[in-house]
Amino acid sequence: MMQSNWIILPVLFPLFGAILNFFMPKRVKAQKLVAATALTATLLYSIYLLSYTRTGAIAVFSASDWPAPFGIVFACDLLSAIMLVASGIVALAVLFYSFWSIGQGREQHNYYAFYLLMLMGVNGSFLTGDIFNLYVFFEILLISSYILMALGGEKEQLRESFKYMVINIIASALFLVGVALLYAVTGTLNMADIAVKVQAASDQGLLTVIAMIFMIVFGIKAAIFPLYFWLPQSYPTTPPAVNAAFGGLLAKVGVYVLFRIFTLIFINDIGYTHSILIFIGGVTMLLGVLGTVGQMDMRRILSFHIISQIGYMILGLGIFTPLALAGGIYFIVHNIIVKTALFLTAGVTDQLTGTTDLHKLGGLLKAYPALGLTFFLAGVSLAGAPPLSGFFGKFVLIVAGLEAQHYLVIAVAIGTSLLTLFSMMKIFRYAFWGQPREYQPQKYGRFLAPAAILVVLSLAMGIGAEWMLDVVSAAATQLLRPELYITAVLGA
Amino acid sequence: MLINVVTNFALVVITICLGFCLYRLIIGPSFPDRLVASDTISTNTVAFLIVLSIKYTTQVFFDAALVIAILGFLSTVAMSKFLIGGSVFDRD
Amino acid sequence: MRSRSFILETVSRLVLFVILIFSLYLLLRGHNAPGGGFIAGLMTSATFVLQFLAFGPTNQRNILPINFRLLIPVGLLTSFTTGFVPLLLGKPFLTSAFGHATLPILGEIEWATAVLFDLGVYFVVVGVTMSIISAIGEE
Repeated sequence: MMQSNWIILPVLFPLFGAILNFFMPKRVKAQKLVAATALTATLLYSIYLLSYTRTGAIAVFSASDWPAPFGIVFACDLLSAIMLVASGIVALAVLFYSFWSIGQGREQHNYYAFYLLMLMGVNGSFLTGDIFNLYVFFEILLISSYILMALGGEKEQLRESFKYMVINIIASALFLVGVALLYAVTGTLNMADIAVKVQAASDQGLLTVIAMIFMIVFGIKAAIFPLYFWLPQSYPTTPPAVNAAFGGLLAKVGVYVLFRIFTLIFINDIGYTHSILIFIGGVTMLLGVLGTVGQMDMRRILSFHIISQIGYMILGLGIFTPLALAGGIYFIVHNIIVKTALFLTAGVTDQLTGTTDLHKLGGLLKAYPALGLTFFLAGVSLAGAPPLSGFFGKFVLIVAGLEAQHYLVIAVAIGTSLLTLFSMMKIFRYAFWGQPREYQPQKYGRFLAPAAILVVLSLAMGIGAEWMLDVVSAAATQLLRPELYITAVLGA
Repeated sequence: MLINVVTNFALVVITICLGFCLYRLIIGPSFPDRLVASDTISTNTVAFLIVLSIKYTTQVFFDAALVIAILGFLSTVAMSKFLIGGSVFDRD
Repeated sequence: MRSRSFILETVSRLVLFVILIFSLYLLLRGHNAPGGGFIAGLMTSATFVLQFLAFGPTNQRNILPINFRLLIPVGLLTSFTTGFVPLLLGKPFLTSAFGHATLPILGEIEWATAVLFDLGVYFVVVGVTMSIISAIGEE
């Protein structure tokens, strides 16, 4: 354990960048420079944090020097550091894609500032050790995301962003109810302290109820069954860059919180809560992928796949063995990277051809071979083909599931994999195969570069799977020993 | 204690008054009725807080009372302007 | 053509400084009693809105030529700096220093750097509220 004042930097860099950007709404070039600098600094510091927590240490910081159960605590363990690095990489990729695609109108209305604020919320959620502070960071993230979603204001976009806002406000209200109930039971808001008090609480029934409330809240935010209905409608209406950031990053913040609270706080009735998680995981992945069958739009199909993939992560959490948790974490990282890459390629397709409707596309592979290759690699990685990163995530999860004898849900997981492959092939067959339609030859290297880099990373994650699995197993072991986190935050 | 009896009585009366105002606010039937009702509600809330401060011999409610008084005045002005001219902010 | 109300104009002129001073009072005592930057900012914007109502948007802009949108980043920067300086001095983020000082008329008072943070919040709230109000008013 160490007391480190600097671990709040991943929150402060984006905040400072956003403030600077607010000062110069019309100077787009300077805005880009500031945003890129802030996010690069965040990523570098996150990598440092990862190397630091890799040794098993947990860095803790108490804001304003108030001691742990009273003040607000930030704690960075291995899981937080992994998430920070993954989100940092993706944030930079999406930022660079925004440079080429988002358009002057949005840029002059503080697009980059709100993008940075959103990342401040994301990073804060990963770091905070206080459940009310978590609520605050979630609100920062959500409010910025409302703005990013509504910015530009086309009719359909506004309608969907209104829906998105209403649903998230309802979820946030429930979140607050859950926090209030938890406070009523334990008398504290510090997550480590809550974890201690929860073990000693007399009314375990009420705690299970609270656990269910939290499951619903983050179920809505992470879009798990049966609360995913809003996602495939609202995401595709946003501009491609925003879509990539939302699809790649935002839903996974909800999953991260589920991982955090269901390994730290609500571990008293694992037989009940975690069986529900397994069931939900199975149904979510199946229904998500079935939703793609009738869709003929690239971005809609990809949005349904977000849901399906979240099922795998929840499954890893539900099985709750070290191996399964490691698989779940690996899968989150893999998914953040690959999903963003897919949305970015869809965005590039949109830029080059003006549509993502599969009926209107065809022969892209011949017209734009690099785009086709990137999409192909990202798609099979999502479906889980070796040696790409998706394979190892699923492989570990399936082995863990077999070890824990959850045969039915593993069968569902394998079936879902095949269906995912099938629907990726559907996109590929319609959009990339066949005779090219009349496309203008264009230079699109810089549009595609962020997605290509992410795909290379996915490949690297597959090739370096041994190292990656080592890291995520360490994170999973750390998660399964909550007393480490508790002593780090509260002291011995 | 006499003061206790008096403040309790005052609180009850103010509460009843608030009830009547609420009735008028909901029933209407015209916009000016609702306007006067909402203004009276804000005045009564101020009175309520002051009486409460006397009852508990504390000053903490005073600021809240002041804030409510200011905002109540402001909202009444805005609504009156709307009533007269059809819009809150004039265009020049 | 706008309708003028002399009663309203006179009252809002008189009340202006009373509310401003009240909001200043709320701001200054905010760090250890009910109050603080948020409510003080709301009160200040209330006075501005009152001027807005009484004199109309154009006069308002002549009396108070401030770009309210710029207040938002200024406030954010103030709060951010207040939090960040302790970090450079080796203390945790947001650590507040406080002490006592003797002023000529007021006598001994307690000061705290938390007030600077509140000041930042105050600017942000005024900026946001007035931006919204003028966006509605000028539509």
